Amino acid sequence: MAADTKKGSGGNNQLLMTLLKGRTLIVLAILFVFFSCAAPNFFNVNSLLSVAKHVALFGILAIGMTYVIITGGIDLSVGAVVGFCGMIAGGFLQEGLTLPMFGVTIYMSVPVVVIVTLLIGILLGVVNGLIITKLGVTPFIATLGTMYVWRGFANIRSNGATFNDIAGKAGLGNQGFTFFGSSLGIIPMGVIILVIFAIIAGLVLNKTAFGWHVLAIGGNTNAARLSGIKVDKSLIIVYAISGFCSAMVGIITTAQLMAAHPATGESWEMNAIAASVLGGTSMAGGVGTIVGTIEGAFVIGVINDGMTMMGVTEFWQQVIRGLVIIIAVVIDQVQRNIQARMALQARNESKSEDKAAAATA
Amino acid sequence: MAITRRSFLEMSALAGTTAALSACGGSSSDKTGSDSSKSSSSKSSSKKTKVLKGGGSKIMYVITPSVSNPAFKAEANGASDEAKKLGYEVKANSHDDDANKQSELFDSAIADKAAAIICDNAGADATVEAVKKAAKAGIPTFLIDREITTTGDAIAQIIADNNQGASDVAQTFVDAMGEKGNYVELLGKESDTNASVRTKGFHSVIDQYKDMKMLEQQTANWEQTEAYDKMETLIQTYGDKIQGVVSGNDTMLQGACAALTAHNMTVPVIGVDGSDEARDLIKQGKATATALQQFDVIARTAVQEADKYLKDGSTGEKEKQLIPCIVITKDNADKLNGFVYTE
Amino acid sequence: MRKGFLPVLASALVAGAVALSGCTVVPIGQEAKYTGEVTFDAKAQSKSLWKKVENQVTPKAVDIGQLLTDADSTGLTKDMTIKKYNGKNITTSKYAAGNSVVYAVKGTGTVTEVNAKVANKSASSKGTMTVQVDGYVGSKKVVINVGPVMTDTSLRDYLDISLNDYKDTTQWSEVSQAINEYAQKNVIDKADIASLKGKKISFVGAFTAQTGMTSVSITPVEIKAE
Repeated sequence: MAADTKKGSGGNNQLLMTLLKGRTLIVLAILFVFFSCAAPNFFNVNSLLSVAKHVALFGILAIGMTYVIITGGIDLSVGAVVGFCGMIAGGFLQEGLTLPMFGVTIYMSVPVVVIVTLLIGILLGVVNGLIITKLGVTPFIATLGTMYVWRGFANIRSNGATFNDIAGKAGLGNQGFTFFGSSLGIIPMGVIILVIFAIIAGLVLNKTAFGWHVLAIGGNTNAARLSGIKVDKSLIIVYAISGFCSAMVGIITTAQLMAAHPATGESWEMNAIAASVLGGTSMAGGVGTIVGTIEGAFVIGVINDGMTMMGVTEFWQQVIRGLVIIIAVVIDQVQRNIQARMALQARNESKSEDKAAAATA
Repeated sequence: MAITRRSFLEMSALAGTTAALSACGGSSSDKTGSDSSKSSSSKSSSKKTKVLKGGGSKIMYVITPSVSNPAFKAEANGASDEAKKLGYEVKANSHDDDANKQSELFDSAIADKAAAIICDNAGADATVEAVKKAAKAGIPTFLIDREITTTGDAIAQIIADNNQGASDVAQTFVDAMGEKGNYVELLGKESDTNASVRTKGFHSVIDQYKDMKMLEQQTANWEQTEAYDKMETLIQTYGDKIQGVVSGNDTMLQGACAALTAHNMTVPVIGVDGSDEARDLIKQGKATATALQQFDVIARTAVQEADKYLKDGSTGEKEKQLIPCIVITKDNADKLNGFVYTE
Repeated sequence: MRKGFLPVLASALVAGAVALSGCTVVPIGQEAKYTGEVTFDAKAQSKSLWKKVENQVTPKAVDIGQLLTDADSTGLTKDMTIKKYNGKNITTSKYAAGNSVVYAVKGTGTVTEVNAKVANKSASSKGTMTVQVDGYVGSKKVVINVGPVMTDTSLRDYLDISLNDYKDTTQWSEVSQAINEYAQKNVIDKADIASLKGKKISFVGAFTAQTGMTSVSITPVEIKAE
């Protein structure tokens, strides 16, 4: 009898858990319905594609950010890396690389520019990782510092000016950069890149030993170290991934705008963090999924674009965005508590069953 | 170990894939000056496009920099008010000087089938694509206050003549300084086109006077508190050597004046914008002059032209229209109210 | 640790290899040869701009004495005056304050004062020369800008070019500076301003009129001592 009622409450809990676990999707669905009613032009293919295009930018950032947050860290420098890498790519395309000692300017072709830019993104991430692991600076402080440094360099690169000759010139053999801002059929390139990145990042996190290491480090760093995981190395790679994602976003946004602007990406780290957190990544580390993050990114994107199309003013948009993040974390906490209680319950049940079994034996 | 290396390889592979993708759009590199004949001239006004009908709705999008600056608030209010008078629904948004956010707002306007877009843009170069995108969707864009670097894309550019405003107010500054002395300059946000247009305007006048010496140039990002801090530092460094202050906008002018007052210094100070706050400082004798950008007039003119264009297919005006800036000094400060100058 | 960087090194090498095959190497500053583009330089155009000034300002110049006498009763910015005296309205919005009209003028008169560095060391760098214009007895003071600082844009504004022909307002102002510099070198400096006090001169130039102004300052196209 007693066991039956317990099972019943367990069933309720399970239903609640399923709802909580799928909460981002549920919220997303509610938002879609809401905005479709409130803004008549919201629910059509073009609107949704433009939402997806906007989501792609901070979605890609959020993928790297999710890895970082899972390890228990944070990367505040991603927005600055976007700006810096955009300036690197834009600068190479417009001004080339001048080598005064040889008296020449080298204009790289677009694939080379892209590879160099991505490598620089990785390098910036490695620097973050080295500062954190080798110098023992906490991630928050380390990336706060590098955020200013990269942003400063982005401005120094052009002295605050914009690079606007991104299209390249046939005579210099560097045309074609706009590819990253174009669309394949009707699907924007950014969205395609987001999907590719999300699939790879999701597989790496769930199916490889590296992914398992990342989760383990976030769960308990010392335990991970004791169990033989090369913590420092994994962390450096994680920050390099974040840098790589940021560089990619820098390339996409530069191509979309047809201009590289040193202030690009200011405060984008906040959107990336928010997307991760909304998607269920725990700031304490050890927990998080790429799918959740992408859902979180879409929640933010839908709210942003939906409110704009509803005619909500900018200042109210800020208020609502903030509230959504807080509510998401509160729900996250509730879920964790319930989970803990269920685990405890399950353990108690198994214990009492063991006892009962022992008694009958 | 092996796994981590693999993940690295995966990343490089990814880089390779994207590079390969990009190569589709790339062209071979061995061309020299053979096709130099087709030079892209900056004069592209000849490409007259078809008349844009608007997206279909009666919604006008008003996109401006952050309305926390009173100047842009006046602009957004002016445009919204005029559009409502003419029977449009208005959606006003701010791009916070982020070109990407501006591009997103343009996307929203397109999705919303807007009739027209009124925009004070977030960067001359980065805005061109957004305007083209809107035109492709049949939505005419009317730029206000700041210009873009192409013609033939926007229907009208109603520009505040920053260059003229800055050079005129700089002339007032030079006269107030007696054509000689040391001054410091507070620059706007370096990535904003107007920051450089204004400082060029200042120096096109001041630098012609050999006895005017600039001690230092500091950026205060258009902000009041930052201008206050920078001004304090400059006062610590140069003290009484500072005989004048040139400021890129009025919010920075306010900060600079506050710092000067705190140190009991009264020197010529100039700004640009024409805010009521600056006007009051001028009346009190704490600031010398500012150049009024007629934000309200600019915004209303753009909306009227947009309405005319949607009805008649033409604004009847040239694309770039300069609205002069008016130097505000103690003599005419009373005529200024809420960015409107009444003669 | 060290091994982990091998892939990075490898990628860098790959990139280097690709770089060699995918780059255009251009001697410094020789880009134009490859792209055929010309960068804007207003000063390089000053000769052709000045040709425009001579062809468009000089022939249309009206007698300044007549214009001012007439305008003292009607107003310089009134449509009637503008029409009668070849004025060019550079107004773009009828709602904006501070609109102005440019006139091309010619005349003769006596120089009463030379307030310029060439004549008087303590004078303003934005030098002027006051002229008592023949045929005008009204209250407006007439001066000719003689530099070396000149910020007036009247000459540029009277031409058949507009901001729409240039990339931005910065280029547009460079055009005016180029014209003014040409005037400084070839008109003002050659006229030996310092010696003109008390003498009779003839002049051609342009000025910008605004509502309520009390003095007219002309940027010269021609100054001749008689």
